[in-house]
Parts: sequence; C-alpha cells; structure tokens
Amino acid sequence: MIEKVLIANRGEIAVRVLRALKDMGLASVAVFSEADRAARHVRLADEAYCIGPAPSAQSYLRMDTILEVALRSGARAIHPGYGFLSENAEFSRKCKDAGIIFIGPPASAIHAMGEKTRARQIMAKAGVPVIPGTLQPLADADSALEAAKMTGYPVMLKAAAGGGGKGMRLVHDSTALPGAFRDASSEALKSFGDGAVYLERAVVKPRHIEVQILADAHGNCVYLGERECSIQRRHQKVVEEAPSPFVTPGMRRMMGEVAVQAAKAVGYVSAGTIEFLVDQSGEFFFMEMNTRLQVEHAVTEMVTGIDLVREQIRVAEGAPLSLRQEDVCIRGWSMECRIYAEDPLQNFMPCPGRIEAVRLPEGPNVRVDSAAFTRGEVSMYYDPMVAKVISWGSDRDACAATMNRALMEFQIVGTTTNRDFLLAIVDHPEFRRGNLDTGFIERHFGGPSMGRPEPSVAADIAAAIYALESSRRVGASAGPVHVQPSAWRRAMQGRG
Amino acid sequence: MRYVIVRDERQIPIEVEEREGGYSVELDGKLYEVEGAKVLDGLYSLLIGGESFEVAVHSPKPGLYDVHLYDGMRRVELLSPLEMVLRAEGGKAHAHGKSVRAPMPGKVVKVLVTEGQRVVKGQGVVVVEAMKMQNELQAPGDGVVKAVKTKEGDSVESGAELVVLDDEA
Repeated sequence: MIEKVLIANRGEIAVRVLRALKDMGLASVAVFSEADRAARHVRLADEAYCIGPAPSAQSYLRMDTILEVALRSGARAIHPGYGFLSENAEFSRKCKDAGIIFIGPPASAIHAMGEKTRARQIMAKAGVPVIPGTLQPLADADSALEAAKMTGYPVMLKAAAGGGGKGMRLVHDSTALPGAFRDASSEALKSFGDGAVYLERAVVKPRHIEVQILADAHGNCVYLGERECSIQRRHQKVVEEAPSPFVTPGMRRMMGEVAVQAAKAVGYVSAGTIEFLVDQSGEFFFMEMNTRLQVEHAVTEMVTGIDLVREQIRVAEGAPLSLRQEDVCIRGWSMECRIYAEDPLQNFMPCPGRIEAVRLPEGPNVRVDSAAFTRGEVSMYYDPMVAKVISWGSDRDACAATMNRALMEFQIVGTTTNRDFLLAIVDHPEFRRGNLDTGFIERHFGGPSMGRPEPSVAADIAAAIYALESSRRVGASAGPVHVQPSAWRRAMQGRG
Repeated sequence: MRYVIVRDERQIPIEVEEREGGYSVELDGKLYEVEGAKVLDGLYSLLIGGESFEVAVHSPKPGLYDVHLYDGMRRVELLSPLEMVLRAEGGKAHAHGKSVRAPMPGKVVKVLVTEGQRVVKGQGVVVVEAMKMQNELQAPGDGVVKAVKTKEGDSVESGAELVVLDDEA
C-alpha cells in the first residue's frame, strides 16, 4: 500500500497532486529548489526538502537527489507531474531499481513512445492510423524529395527527438524542400542534440484532438473521451475543451478504441494521452502519445467526474481500474484557459516578476488550479504558466459563458498576463461556433501581437485617483499613518 | 490636481479633486462625478454616473499605471506637471541615440545586426532567451547601429544595454 508520496515537481501541478493525496488521506513530501522556498506546494505538503539551486537542471531534474529524499523520507512512491522527469524512462527505471513506485507508465512504454519515428513504426504495426510519411529519419535532402513524391505536398518536416514546434517546417513544393530540410535539421540539432528529421504529409486546417486513456497493470484499459486542443499558439496549447465540438458519438468510439489499441501496443499502465491530428473530413491520424498526466487533464475530470491523479495512484499500487468502459459517461462541457505571465501586446514576451495581488474566480462551475499567491514570484527559471482556469457547463454555450465570467473575475496585479487575450478568444464568434483548427489564433489574431484595447474613461479616472492618493501618501509619510484594515485585506492575508 | 494622459502622442488633460464620498474629475473637458470607495490600497469601487466599476491599479514605474478592469487591463501613461518637466529634460539627453535593452534577465541567443548596419523601426536586433522562450528584441526606431555591446552566449541582466542605435542616418 502507498501511504506517502513524493511529488517531484513544482507549481500548479504539484499543488494539484498534493490535493489528490490529501483527498485520499495520504502523506505528502514536496521537494523544492532554493527559488521555491516559499512556494505553495512547499507550504501545503506534510514534509518538504530542498534539492538544490533554482535552475531545474540542478534541482527538479536531479534524479539521484530526488530518489535520496524519497528513501530518506520513507515515501513509497513518486508522482512526477508533467514536464521535468515525467517522461524520462531512465528515471522510471531508477525508481524501480530503488524500490520506489513511479506513478506513471513503465520505462519500456515511455521509451517506446519517446522517440517519434519509433512510436510511429510501432503504431503503424499495431494498426493505428498514421499520417503517410517516412517512418525513418531522412538521410539527406534528396531522400526528402523522394519521400515527398510518395506522400504528396504539402509536407511537414519534423524533428525525430522533437516537441514544442522546434525543428518543424511546413513545405508547399519541391523547390523549398532542400532548404527547409537543412533548416529543420540544424534547428533540431541545436534544440535536442539530434539532427534527425522525418517527413510526412501535412494535414490542411487540422484539428488537434486527443484521447485520454487509463490503464492498469492487469490488462484493462479504458478511454475517457477526447479533448479538443486546436487553440494553439506556436504549437503550445492555450485553450482546451472536452468534449470536442467536432466529434460525434460514433467518431468518439472509433478514436477511443484506436487509443486503447495504441496504449496496449506498448504495454501502457497509468493515465496517458494519444494525440491525433484530425482533418476536415474527420479522418484522424496518430501524432504522438504523451506518457504522463497532461496539463489539460482537468477538463476530462470535469466531464467524467473521474479524479485522474487518484486513479494513477491506485493503479500504481497494483489495483485494477475502478471502472469499466461502460461506466464512463461524458456529462456537459468543460473548457480550460491557461493563464501565462506573458504580454500579448509585446509579442507574448514572458513577464517574470512579483505578483502584487491575485484574485481567483469563484462560484458555480469554476475550478482553478494555480500556485500563484499575493506577494509571490513568477520565477524566470520556470514555465511562465501561473494558473489554469477551468469552467463547466451543461452545454458548450453555458460553459463558454461561465469561462467568460471566470476570466473577468480573474485578476493578477503586478505582472502582465495573457488574460485579456484568452478573453478575446473565448468571446470570438468563430470560437463560439466551434470552428476550430490549429491555425485559429494565427488567422483571427494574426500578426505577432494583439490589438491594443480601447481606452476606457473608467481606467483613466482610476489612474488619476490612484496617482493623487500616491502623491498624498508620499507627502504624508513623515506623519503617523492610520490605516483601517479592511475585511478584504484581512481575508487576503490569511490566504495563499 | 492636474495631470496629463499621454496617448498616441496626444496629451489629454485630466484634473481630479477629492470631495465628500468621491471625486470630481474633468477628463478632456468633460466633467464626471465619481463616487469612490477604497477597498484597499490600489483597489477601488467606482460608481461613475451609476455605472459600477471595480478597478485595481498598480504602477510598475513612475508615470505608468496598469489599470485592471473586468473587461481588460489598460496601461495608462499619466504624468503630473513635475513628471512632465522631468521627462522633457530626460528626453533631451536621449535625443541623439536610442538603445535596445534587455527587458529581463536572460541569455543572448543571437545578435542579428552588426555595427554600422542600418535598421528600421520594429526590425529584430537581438534574440534573448528567458524562461525557455526566445524573444526577439526590436529596434525602437529607424537608425544606424552605433555599437553592439553583447555577443551570443552572454548572460545579461534586466536593463542591460545590448545595442546602441544612432538615429542620425
């Protein structure tokens, strides 16, 4: 039995996992870098240990240090969250060797899905539809031209070891192919230390739709419906929802069964996600499998009522799945918006810095997963995502309306966030109609930046009032200050 | 107290006076009676002609105010008479040269210009990586690169001068 779990992560996902542990009555161990001494996950955990300096290579990625803390603290299991060590086969293996349960898939499954061309080969063999293309990395520009003749244009060049859009090139004709091949290869080499590139047919106006699966160690595997993640900026997801407005019940069953087939082909155990590229006709192709909990897992939880982290922990203990496929039912609609500390008006430049105040949305059908707090820091060392705002509604319109309300209530003062950009997406008529594809942001919010908001009389007046009060405060600073602490302030002090 | 809002190279006068229960504000020649309640420092409830606004204000640097409203954040450039004078004097010192500075601590990934090169407003001059993201810093105006004060691989602090431009062509 697992009684104590170490969380090898930070930020909102560490907080998310901690909450599941508390819900299950399990003890928790946090690890933290020197930059995260006062972080939410440290304060929420039962025990917490420093594992090194701020840069993640010297802290959150230190496998041996983390294992040592697990052994010392008596934690039976490690939850890796997402990012960091979550898809590291070596870490999964090292945990096993040390007698610690890795809450995630076996090393062999991580390895099989970790390299894209290998994963495609395994999937093709297992009968999972893959996009026509080369299953092997390309030797040179000539073999790229040869391969493109078979698949037809446009083609997409992709880094074999890649992710996040690095080493990717869309090519429309043969004249542009050799140059694009060289660019993609050198970018892949620089980003991943591996210049291998493969080629496949580019799907025009594709949707990104992924299927959540859950598998136990006894050969049971279920699918928990899909998530539509087409709203992306530079291949990074921004808004996600479940279910997809494009997917019919028949298509859901087909995609789900294929996803289960894919997971079984690599002996998968735990929660995992199979990402598909879906064309306008509804034909879908395997893209990759994420062998971990996803950032956007919450929307699936909202519509299925299943706590994925809890299931991960149960399965890691060796328990069989607590549900069968026929028990899974999708109820209503859920959306997630990722709030990043970045400035949409300045080419989405990250905005690290101190948070002066946070107000999180509340009320019916709203969930917020965040590690942000008043007087906290958005550190330049880590991902600039500060919160996930999740809404639920009985249908898609109700869900979008609640998301609009939640985003309006959401406020971070001190550092700039993409909140207003998210609001503009959620309120966009094409978004409301469900006309989504991966080019949505580029098409509707084209250009590097978003338009400046209309001036507001209320904002001008507020700025002047604040300036007036500030000038008085400076002038009066020598005298005694009488501040009546408000209920709001007292409440804020007790928070976060 | 009189202030000036600087927007799109226009100067808009705004005058604010405190009165019982609120403020009288004259903005661009128009008078507004504002009922104001301060919830805490920087957080107000304003009633402007019966319309209710909750506003949170934060000043990231003198003369600049981030005003958060439900429908979006507005960055307002608002200067007191003193700040207007200071800015006018500061402007003179910079009239013969602009520079591109690091907006945050990070690592220089790429320098896109060389000394003597002519650049146009908005052209990328340096790529800085911070928080796992690469950001292209752009020329603030047309000009000629006078000096490149960084090289690829450098770690730079926030505010560090990376490239100096001369606007004398």
